[in-house]
Amino acid sequence: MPPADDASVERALRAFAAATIGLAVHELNNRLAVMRETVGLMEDLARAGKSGAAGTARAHGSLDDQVGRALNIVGTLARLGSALGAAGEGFDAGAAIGDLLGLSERWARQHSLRLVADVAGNLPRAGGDPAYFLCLAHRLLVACAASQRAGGGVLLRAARDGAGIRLSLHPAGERLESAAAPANDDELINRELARRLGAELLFQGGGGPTLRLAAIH
Amino acid sequence: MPKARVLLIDDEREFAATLTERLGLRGYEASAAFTAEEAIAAVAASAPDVVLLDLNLPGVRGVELLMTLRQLLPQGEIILLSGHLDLAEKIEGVRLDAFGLLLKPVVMSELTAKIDAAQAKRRTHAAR
Repeated sequence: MPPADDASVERALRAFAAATIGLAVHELNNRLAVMRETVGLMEDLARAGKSGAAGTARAHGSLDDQVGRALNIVGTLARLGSALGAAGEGFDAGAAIGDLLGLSERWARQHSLRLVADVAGNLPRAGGDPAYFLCLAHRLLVACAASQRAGGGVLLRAARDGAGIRLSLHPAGERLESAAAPANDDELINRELARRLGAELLFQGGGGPTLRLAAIH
Repeated sequence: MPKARVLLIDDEREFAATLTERLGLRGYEASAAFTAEEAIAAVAASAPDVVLLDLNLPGVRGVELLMTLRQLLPQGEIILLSGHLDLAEKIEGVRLDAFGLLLKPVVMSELTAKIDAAQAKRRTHAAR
């Protein structure tokens, strides 16, 4: 099979960036909406002479929680931004997987799917360009999850593999009868992203894909 | 008599609970549903005057839910809420006769103006 061309890989990277920014913006808007309503309710109650210590404490707790969740999203976006601009410097695969899952949580919830990570604590720093890793891992994750019926999900397992890292995706649940095999173009792009990352992409019968990453020593 | 009976459909429970309380303080009879199933049951049971529908509920396409609610509630008005501006959803919403689309976070004065306008339209149609 011929490799995917530069334009296809560029489109895949842009699509990944657009999808993750869209998810983050949506989630941030939701946090801001809760904050605005909470503050508005405090004002309404004060105006009506109905505010009390318990209500105020509850509102403060809610605001604190929402600010914390918004800060998590901002932190994820900051890490993604620096990953997308840090060509070839290596990266923390465990943190990158955590960020991907955080950003994909709402998408999964909307499709009634669960995404779970099992990341070993002793992973070495992965080599290669994190932008290719994030884009490829996101494509594999979405394809794997979308092939499951509602109520199913995907387990992402990252573990040390000799001198490198093995990231495997395990579908959990019932496979959709209508789930199609990946289109040829998608497979070519995935293989090209893996090649540029310096990783090996394996598909084993029945299970999800596995990505073997080189480590920086 | 309430200004309007409003059903808010949104899976963000904290947002929905707070907004319904604020609408209640402004003279609306507001309640909330957090899933598509709850929303369909609530609309069938109480036929609200105005529905505020978040298009991004889990497990269902917002446009499909809008179509179902439209059939259940021919006399009511449906206002769409969205966390981001999706042009395709907006076009579908207009095609399916939604009263309007508001972006989150909503400004309370804009929301109540929209609800009041929807209620006025509903009353005009009902009087014919």
